Amino acid sequence: MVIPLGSNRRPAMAGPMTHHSDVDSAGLVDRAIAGDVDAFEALYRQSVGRVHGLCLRMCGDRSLAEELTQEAFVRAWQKLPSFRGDSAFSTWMHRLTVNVVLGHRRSAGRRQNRETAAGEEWYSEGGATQERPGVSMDLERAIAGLPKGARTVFVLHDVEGYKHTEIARVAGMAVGTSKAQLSRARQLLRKALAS
Amino acid sequence: MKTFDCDQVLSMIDDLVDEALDEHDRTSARSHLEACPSCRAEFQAATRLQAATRSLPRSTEPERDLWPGIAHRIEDRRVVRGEFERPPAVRPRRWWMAAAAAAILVVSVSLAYRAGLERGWPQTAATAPVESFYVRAAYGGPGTGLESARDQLRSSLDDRRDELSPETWSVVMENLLVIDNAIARIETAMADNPNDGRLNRQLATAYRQQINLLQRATRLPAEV
Repeated sequence: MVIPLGSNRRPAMAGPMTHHSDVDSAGLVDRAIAGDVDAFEALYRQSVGRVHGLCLRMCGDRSLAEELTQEAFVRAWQKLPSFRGDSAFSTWMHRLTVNVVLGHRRSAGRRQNRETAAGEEWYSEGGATQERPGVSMDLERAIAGLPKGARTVFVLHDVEGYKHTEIARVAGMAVGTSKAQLSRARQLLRKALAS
Repeated sequence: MKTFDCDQVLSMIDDLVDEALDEHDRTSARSHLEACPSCRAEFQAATRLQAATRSLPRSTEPERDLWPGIAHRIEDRRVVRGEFERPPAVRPRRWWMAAAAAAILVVSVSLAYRAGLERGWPQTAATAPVESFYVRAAYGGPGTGLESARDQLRSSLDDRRDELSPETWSVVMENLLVIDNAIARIETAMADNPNDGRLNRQLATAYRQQINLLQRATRLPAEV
């Protein structure tokens, strides 16, 4: 296979979103860019919880979240040669994951939608959910039960800390729509948690 | 100080919780909350929701190890890697980049097809119904028919690597890379124009052409 690889990555900048593991992962990123699958697996082990958590919360379906998590890492492997190190690897991976989930959601409009509307599937089995008692579990269930648009904006804004302008850009919606969806999501969640 | 009624204050609850109100409005709204139990309850519920949201774990490990599936896809070289320069942020330029990428892949695949005919690709490969690999008319994202068909064909092609000359292998891989880069460019353009039908059609076309190329490559006569 003719795949000329070379890192054009700049040194990782330490910033507010840079974690210690990101500094540690700089060498792994360089090795993964050069085609080292073991290094990429190490990056996967470091970040899979964060990526899967984001997918799960955004789509509300355990099976689909696993599928999207795998897709995000395959996409990351494809695009790593273009990773320039302008941000930490975790930040780059996070944005890539959001794009994968939103891309799937856009295409889902053209086919059978596998996402749950009732938010039951996420909590129908054991696993991580059993470790979240009380309000957190109720809130997770309520988030999973939100309409897709409201859930996307709520997760990105209130959980992940995106600004409305960023959400509007990545989700292809107007800033006003993002604000309206957030307001709707919060109202629905308050109502769900009060009942 | 302004005086707000209940409707006005309820419409401000989100901004109040987010501390997005200017000082005058915040003071007026808080004054209303002190005197209105109903609005105060709403505000307290919003504050509790915010606190609960902030305490949610950011990380959730999957119930099973997903690495084997990822490794299977990347180690067997079903996934073509390549340098992908992100198009500039200027929207009209993005359009040109996406259109240019689509044009490149059309030309590239056409050349590969012509080269294949010159090398004696069997007519059955050229005339076989590529649509038989399509489960859906348009690209449907991960796990859908187009991607599954591509992966199956890529696996079949890998199995035949020893039968093909290095030159043929190189031509096929370079063309796959061109199409992969085109797909990446189209997807980037779609991030800004998610509902654009033309980009969606371009993406579906790119996947079809990739499958078409793979299908023909897997039917090349053995050279080695």
